[in-house]
Amino acid sequence: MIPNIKIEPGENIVIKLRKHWMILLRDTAGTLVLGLLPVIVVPLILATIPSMYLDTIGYGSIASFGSALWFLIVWMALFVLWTDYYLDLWIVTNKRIVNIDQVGLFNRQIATWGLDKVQEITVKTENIVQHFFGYGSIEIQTAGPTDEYAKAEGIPNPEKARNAILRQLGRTEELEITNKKQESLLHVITHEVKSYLTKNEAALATISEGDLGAVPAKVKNMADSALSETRRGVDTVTDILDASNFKTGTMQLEKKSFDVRKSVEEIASEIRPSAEKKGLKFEVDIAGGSYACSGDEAKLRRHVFRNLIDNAIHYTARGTIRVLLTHTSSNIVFSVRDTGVGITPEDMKILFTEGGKGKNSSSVNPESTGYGLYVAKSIVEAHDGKIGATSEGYGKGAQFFVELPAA
Amino acid sequence: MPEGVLSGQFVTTLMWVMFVATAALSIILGIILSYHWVRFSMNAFVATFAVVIYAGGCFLFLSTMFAAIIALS
Repeated sequence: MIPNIKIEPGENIVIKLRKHWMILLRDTAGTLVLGLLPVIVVPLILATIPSMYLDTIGYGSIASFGSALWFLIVWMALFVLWTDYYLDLWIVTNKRIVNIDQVGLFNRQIATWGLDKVQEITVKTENIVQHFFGYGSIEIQTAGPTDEYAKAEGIPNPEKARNAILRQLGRTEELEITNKKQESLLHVITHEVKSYLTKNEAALATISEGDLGAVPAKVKNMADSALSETRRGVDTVTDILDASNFKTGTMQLEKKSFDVRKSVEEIASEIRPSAEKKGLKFEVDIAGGSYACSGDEAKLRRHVFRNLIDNAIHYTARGTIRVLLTHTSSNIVFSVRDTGVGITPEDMKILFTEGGKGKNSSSVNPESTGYGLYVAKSIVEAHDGKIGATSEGYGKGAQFFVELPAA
Repeated sequence: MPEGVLSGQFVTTLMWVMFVATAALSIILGIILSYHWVRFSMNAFVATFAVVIYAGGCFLFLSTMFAAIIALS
């Protein structure tokens, strides 16, 4: 555990470096010399005072008092210096470099540099003392919005530290290449699976909807059930595929003008039965006015409007689902309010992240992939819109809202 | 008492004032330093050890000062 530093999941500490003991000796040398002062000064003072006076004023006690006072002050100063030395730390993890700098007692500075930003590492051993005792400084040039310069002085065996960082940089690059390969493989697999599932879906729909003529009730029930499961599979695979497309920047949007009101009304009427089947009150409230929007209607319908209403139904055991559509002069505002399980502040932080699932998500909605809201956010943002959620906490319901620019 | 030498009473009072001030300073500094060690150290043993050593040293020096004042009084 490192105080004040949150180690992320998957982050490992590679090396922890504290300054060389010579740095502590250098910083405390002056204080140590001063500490010896009474040993020299007291006998000198006593030598200059006539012995008749010394007997009168109790010189022994005064000298003892003065020396103890002096040593106590030196003692305190040494601990301040040691604290300053001991709390300085340089940590290299598999993701970043952290420099903790304790300046005096009340100033603690923590700086971090991502390993992916490191451009150059320079090691310097500048004088005979540093060569003899084997310490020096490490300078790291990083690339970022503003170029930054990290420097750590008095690092024991700086070459070894530099090699450890370089090894880590190599691993990071390897990991990035592996991730890209895996991403590409995932894309191919999901694409293939989606293709098979879509064909199955079409075949099952043909049986279920009677295109092949009347079928026995048992066969129809089985086809209905298989069709429902296949559609769920298609939805899941589509979510993963779309998330992957957004991540790799290959998602294509077909933008054209459409009526959001019509889309929301149609989706609401499609979903209403499933909400009512669960015993939920389902309300749709659409204010008057125009809801023309320029965007990819199919993706907004499926990943945003439908997804948010579906989620509200999944996460609400009893009460009401309220779908609202309003507009301002420049935006169309779609929102879904429910009386469901609500969202804890911890879950709120990961709500729209890739694969981000709430703590109790799996028990309430076992079908959740964690990609739905990530894809919804990506799509809304690709339309220059905003998506967000509010909740008063667990068990207190939630509200999701989407703002899209009006055409 | 020889002429020009400070009175024993004054010296004793001065020593008491210095003793109290130093004791207060060492306690306040000890609290601040202990906070840093316990809060920021990665090693609980080092933090505890530092508290014990610091407190021990302060106690030793303050005891010496106290003993010197008592002896002078």
